[in-house]
Amino acid sequence: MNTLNFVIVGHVDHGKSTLIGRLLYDTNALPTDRVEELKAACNALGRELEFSFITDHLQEEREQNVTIDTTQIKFKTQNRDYTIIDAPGHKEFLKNMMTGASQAEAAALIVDAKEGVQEQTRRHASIIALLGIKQVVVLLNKMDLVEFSKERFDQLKAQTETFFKTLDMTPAHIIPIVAKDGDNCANPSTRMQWYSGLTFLEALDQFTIKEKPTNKPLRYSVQDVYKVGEKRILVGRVEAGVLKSGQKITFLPSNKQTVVKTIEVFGNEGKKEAEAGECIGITISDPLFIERGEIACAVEQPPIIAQKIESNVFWFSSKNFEKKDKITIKLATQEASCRVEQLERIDSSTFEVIEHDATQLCPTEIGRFVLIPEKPIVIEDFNEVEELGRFVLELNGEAAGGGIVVSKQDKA
Amino acid sequence: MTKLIILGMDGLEYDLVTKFGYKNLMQDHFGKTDISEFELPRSVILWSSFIAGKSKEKELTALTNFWHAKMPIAQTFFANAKNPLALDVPGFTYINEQHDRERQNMKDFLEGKNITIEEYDKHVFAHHQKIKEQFFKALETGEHDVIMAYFSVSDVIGHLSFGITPKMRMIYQDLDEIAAKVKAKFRGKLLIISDHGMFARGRFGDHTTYGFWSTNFDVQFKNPKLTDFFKTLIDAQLE
Repeated sequence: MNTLNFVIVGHVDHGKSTLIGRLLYDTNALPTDRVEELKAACNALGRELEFSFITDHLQEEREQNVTIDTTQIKFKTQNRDYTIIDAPGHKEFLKNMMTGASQAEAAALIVDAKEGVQEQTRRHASIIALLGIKQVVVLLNKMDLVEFSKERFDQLKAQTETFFKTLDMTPAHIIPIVAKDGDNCANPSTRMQWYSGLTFLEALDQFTIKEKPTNKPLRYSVQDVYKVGEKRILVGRVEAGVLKSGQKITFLPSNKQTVVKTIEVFGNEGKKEAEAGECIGITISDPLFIERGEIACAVEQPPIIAQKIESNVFWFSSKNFEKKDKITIKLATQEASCRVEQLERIDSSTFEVIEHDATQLCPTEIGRFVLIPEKPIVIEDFNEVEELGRFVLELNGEAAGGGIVVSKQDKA
Repeated sequence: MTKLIILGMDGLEYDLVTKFGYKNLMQDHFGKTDISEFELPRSVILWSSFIAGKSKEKELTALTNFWHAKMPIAQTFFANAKNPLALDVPGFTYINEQHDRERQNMKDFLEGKNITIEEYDKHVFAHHQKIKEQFFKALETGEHDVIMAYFSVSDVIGHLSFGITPKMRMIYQDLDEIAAKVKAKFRGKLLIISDHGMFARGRFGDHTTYGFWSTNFDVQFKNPKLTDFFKTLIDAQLE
């Protein structure tokens, strides 16, 4: 069964933990006996079951690596499997997304119906936009606190749509929910009969799972070169497209052409093709000197070789970035020292430029960087081939920022 | 008029109170108590020592059943009060029938006899609700100058569930709400104290060798012993 990866973001007190706990409960992803025990205890104490306590407990267990995966919470519906990418804060989420550690295909933005849209809500929406996540559902939570008012829902819906419009986005669904009681989470609410739209789970079921980029032009990043007997094997990963034996390829940025002779995979002799996501070795017809960092591409569909990279960068180091700093860009297996030609500081809530010719970027800020690598680098627009559109910046040998390519220059 | 309230919370764990930030339990001044003077952190002995202002360990362990020991009021800090109320206080007004049954239930559960965790919990929670009700009723009347209410829930549930954090958190929240309600109604001195804390052994819980204390008045204590509060409580009644 396929899995949809999604993230739930929102202001710290707007009910994220409660919603996660409720989803796990409604989809029977929690141990039944434990839930029954907690429910019985709640009844005896005359209290409501606190789903957020359950979620927090799961997070603790995860941190201790006791029972479940260290970064993800899983559940399933009749239609498919789901993974909630856990993001304790937007800093961690941005860092993971930008470095490729986790990939959300959809996002749920949770808003307290009583408190309404807050600064942090706007910031999270901006982050979703920055990361190019197009499948978004907005959950207006705690509708019980506004007496299930349709007027309040309509007011917030209009407000939400307006600020998403400024980000050039439209949420697929805006749903009134009460996470603690489960209204419109997995099951339709009987307390908001004026709402005839989808429940949260139904909305998730409508989202599509990102396909492997097999229909994109071939991009194969060389990781290393090994000599095995008489063979020189170039080991790497198919980042996009399909690589076939007998195919004409160009290595960039060195611009050397050759033909794929064989595809080498341990225990799979005679493999004829490999698709995006596969790590394989290849041999080539010509005795070329190829090294780590080269990108093999289909001859007829070359990528961009950039001498200047425009990008959005999230600075997650604890130290400030100074424009004069020399940094290293790491993109797929490519690595190059760079300088920053231009730096703009961005307001992470509105995405507006707050300082045009900045000399410094502080921890957790977003900056628009124009990077000048000391040697040409193969890049792609993040929205086209993510694997070649995202990079990590290192400062003094330590990962300090994550970036995505927003436009390309200098065609090969 | 009530001048002094003591909320005795058995097994209340310092680390859990501070981790979840239960501000009403923490009050203005709070910390850990030192109970290293006792050979073992046994509840009845610790509480008896607390109300007597001196260690009762030797005396009580010499008895065949120290759980049922009852001290005369003259040996306790209640002696200085005009009309004190002690609800279920171990070593003084402890409700033997309730707590004997709790211990038997725990033994049965651990031996796999015919009792579920839900049944075990239900019995404890029902008693907790009863004490809570009696306490707030007494607070409402204002007839007692000193009230001490003993809540055993965090310890008795903790023994079988301390590793089930959501359950313990719910109990601590309930205790925090008791403290909040007291603070909202009462202008006198409030001491919240535990005999010992707890740590998890899998899903179960065991006693630590320190306790928890907090006050809404300055006691200038640093790592006090459980018996150090006696003088403070006497002084508070005399003011």
